[in-house]
Amino acid sequence: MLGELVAGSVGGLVLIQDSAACEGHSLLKTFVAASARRGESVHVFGFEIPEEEFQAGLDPHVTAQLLYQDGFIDPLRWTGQAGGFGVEEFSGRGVAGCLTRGSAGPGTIVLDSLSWILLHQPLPAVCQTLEQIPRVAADAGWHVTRIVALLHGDLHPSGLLEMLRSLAQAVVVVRPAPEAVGSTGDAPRQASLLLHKGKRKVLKKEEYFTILAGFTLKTLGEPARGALPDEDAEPCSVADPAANLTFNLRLSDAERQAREGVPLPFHFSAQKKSSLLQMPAGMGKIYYEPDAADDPDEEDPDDDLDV
Amino acid sequence: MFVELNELLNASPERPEEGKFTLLRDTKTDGSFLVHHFLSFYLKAGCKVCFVALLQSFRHYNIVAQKLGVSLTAAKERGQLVFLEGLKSCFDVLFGEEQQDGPPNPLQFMREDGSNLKTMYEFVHTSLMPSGSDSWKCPVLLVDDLSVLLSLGVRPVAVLDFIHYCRVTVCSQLKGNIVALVHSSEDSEDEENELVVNSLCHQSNLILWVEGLATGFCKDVHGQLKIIQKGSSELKAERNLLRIYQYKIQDKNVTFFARGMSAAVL
Repeated sequence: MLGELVAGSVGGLVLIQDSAACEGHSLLKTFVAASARRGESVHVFGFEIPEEEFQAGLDPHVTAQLLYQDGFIDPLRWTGQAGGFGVEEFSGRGVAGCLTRGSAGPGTIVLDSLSWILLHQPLPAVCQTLEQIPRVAADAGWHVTRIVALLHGDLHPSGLLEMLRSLAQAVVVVRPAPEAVGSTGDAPRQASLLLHKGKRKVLKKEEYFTILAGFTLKTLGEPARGALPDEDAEPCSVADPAANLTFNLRLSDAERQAREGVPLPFHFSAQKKSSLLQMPAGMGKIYYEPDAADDPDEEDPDDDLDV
Repeated sequence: MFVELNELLNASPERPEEGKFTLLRDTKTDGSFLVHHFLSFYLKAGCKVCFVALLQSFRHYNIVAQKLGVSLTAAKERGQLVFLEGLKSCFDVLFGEEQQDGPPNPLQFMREDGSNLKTMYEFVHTSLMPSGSDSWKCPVLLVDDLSVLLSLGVRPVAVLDFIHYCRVTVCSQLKGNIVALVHSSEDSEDEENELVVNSLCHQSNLILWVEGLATGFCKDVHGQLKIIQKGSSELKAERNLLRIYQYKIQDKNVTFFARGMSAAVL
């Protein structure tokens, strides 16, 4: 289902919610690459990372289709550099004003990130802007099909997150996948999807995925039924104490046989008996002859034990 | 600088990395030994360093640096180190005479409402802008520590804005490095501090997280260091790399060892 979402099955607001343990930038760039490949014009409003870092790793024909509004360089107008996108310009009209450079075909707006904007603008204003953008753009003759926004879930109170989730058409929460999924080089993630279909239907789904070079999505199947971790439990938080031992906890069959073959020291076998009874040839013997200077003690050394 | 830490981080003063933001985070213990490490590391590497020291006096840092084989006074005279002594500047702002001409005091925000740290950013900017004559390697901003700003009444968003602009100038434009220390404790319920710490965790490339031992104080193991190397999202998704070591601080050195492998118990 995540594949369909990236392929553009859902319009409206799409939220990607990440945390410090699992970044969502790569998934955001996957959405950008997929939109650009479909021939849509992509407007990126970037506040968090420099433009070069955002464009790194994307195909040249994808970057050619990006229209980047640089909100990273001087968002608060401290340095007075010309150009760039200030945070106070983030309103329906301000965003639509930037769209004029794009083609009139279907367009995707990418917000990197919504968290940065939320720290600088009150929630009601941001929600209004998100609602206004498609309308104001349509008035100006631009068709905005989708707004993809990155949201850092650990920076906001849960009430605010719930508010945005109800506003969004689709929410993708990314978190690290359990160790057993995928190969280690892949950096597998787990996505919890929440999809509003029509007016009443809500779909929930869990999926594993990874993102390959060139920002293409590869889904790795779904978690087994019944194995779904509940929201509160942190994945991989319970460390397995037996995971990285330098010795074996269990024996293989061959090892067990070898262990059973070893004679124990208290076992008395015929071989051991004969070795104890037979005097080996050439062994030295001790003869004791008391000499005159010896002073033999006639007294019983243990006679005081009867007291 | 501590050689063992350099080995763990695969860093050497001959070839310092560029454009990185390193977050130092301490929980239930004091992580300032890492600040001393990075100060001496970058001075030895020949980088131009701007040190925003809000926690201790110049004398304190100088004495520790001398133990690590670096003289801050000499570095200051060479023009390699720009030292902002927060304790002194703060006194000047509150009780000193108001300067009419010259650059504003970097801690000017204390007189105002603390709504932004623009003056402090401008101080960093002018200190690290390369001038024609000097030939230092990449510029470095060192902050000890950001939590003090919150205690001075600065709003968390203002602290984040300050770091944002420093990242733009130092990491992105000048290809230098930022190292900043923050305190954090998960059960403190200090929401402002947690916001700053979480947000900086998102922005940083490397997190060095010093924690006190869960079992309490110990003579031979002073705490544990989590090294979280953030997977870059530049080319594809990458997993964060987490390594955990325990450490013991000695007079002039810090030794690191795997968990449970202290020389005292082996």
